Amino acid sequence: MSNDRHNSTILVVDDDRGAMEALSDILEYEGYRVERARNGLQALEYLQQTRPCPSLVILDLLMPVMDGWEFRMRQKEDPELANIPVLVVTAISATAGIDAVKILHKPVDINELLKAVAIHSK
Amino acid sequence: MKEPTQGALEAELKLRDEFFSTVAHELRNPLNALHLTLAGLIRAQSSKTPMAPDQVVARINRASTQVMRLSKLVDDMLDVSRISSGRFQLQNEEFDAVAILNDVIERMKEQAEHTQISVSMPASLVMQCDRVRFAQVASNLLSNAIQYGDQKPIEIHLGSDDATIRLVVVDHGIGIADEDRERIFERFAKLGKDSPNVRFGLGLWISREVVGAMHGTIGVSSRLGQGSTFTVELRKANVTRAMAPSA
Repeated sequence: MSNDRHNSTILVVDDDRGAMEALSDILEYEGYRVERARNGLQALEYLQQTRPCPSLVILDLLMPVMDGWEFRMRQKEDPELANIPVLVVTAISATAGIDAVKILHKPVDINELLKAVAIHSK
Repeated sequence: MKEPTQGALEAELKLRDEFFSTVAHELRNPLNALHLTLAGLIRAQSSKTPMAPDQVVARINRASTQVMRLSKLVDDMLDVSRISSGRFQLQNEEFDAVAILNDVIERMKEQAEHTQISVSMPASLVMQCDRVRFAQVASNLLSNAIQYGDQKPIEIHLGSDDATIRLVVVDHGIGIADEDRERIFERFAKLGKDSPNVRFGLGLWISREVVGAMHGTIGVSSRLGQGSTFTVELRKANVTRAMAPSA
């Protein structure tokens, strides 16, 4: 069980199963509720169908079906979803054009990740 | 032997730089998962509420999976080096392709998660070529079908006529745009604007080189958004030869 309870749900969007599991494990241990999507389209459908919305989206960029850039563009077009903060976690350095509260590069420092999640999931 | 021109040498160096840059990027995903798994474990076990032993074992297993991913990537890089320099040898042996394919499917079950895999093949199909490399090609095709199959059912067919065996792997996932059908067989293929924003690794390039060395063919038919069908045709009885250096 976790050391601290949080009253926040985080949506993790990543097609890399290992990255998804590792991120989810850490967040759940810290007491966050975690929902999972394997691409931008799954994430968008989840957000459109679920209330209340998650407090934060952790978003990979390179994904099949719908990538992180298109997800972000379509999220911002929907007034009900536009204000959900997005934290980008990516293996690529070319992140131009993505609008996020913070961009972290893999391999991610766990303390930096948890600090960013704590700040932006409130 | 003709000396390469300055321009050709510069192009080769640029290609090599791009290759190393992409390899470094590809290593980041499993390294990130490994690092987060271990860092999370250390954080939890150093806290006032450490995880139970079964949870610790589950995390260590996940870390081990990432080490195996890194190992596969290193193996692929070594294959690229061997193929490119002509130091790649095939071992000719007789084996049952059905048994090998069943092994490959069994090993991929964890990666497949909930993706349904249906198989049609005879009870036994004896062929002669490099057993390990045949398994590698089948594994690469199935891995791609799982990765880009959008979790929709995958079909595998294995059949033969008198001289040829045919392996077909069908997915119903993201598909490939017409202009990218050949490009996906390049090393770390970057696809055009009409294809989904994904990057292929080394598997298809290695598979085409290996199948070519076995005197076979590998091809794909695909429709964007509807899936892909990869077909490998190999002679039932093969002749071993060293591969010629490849660009």
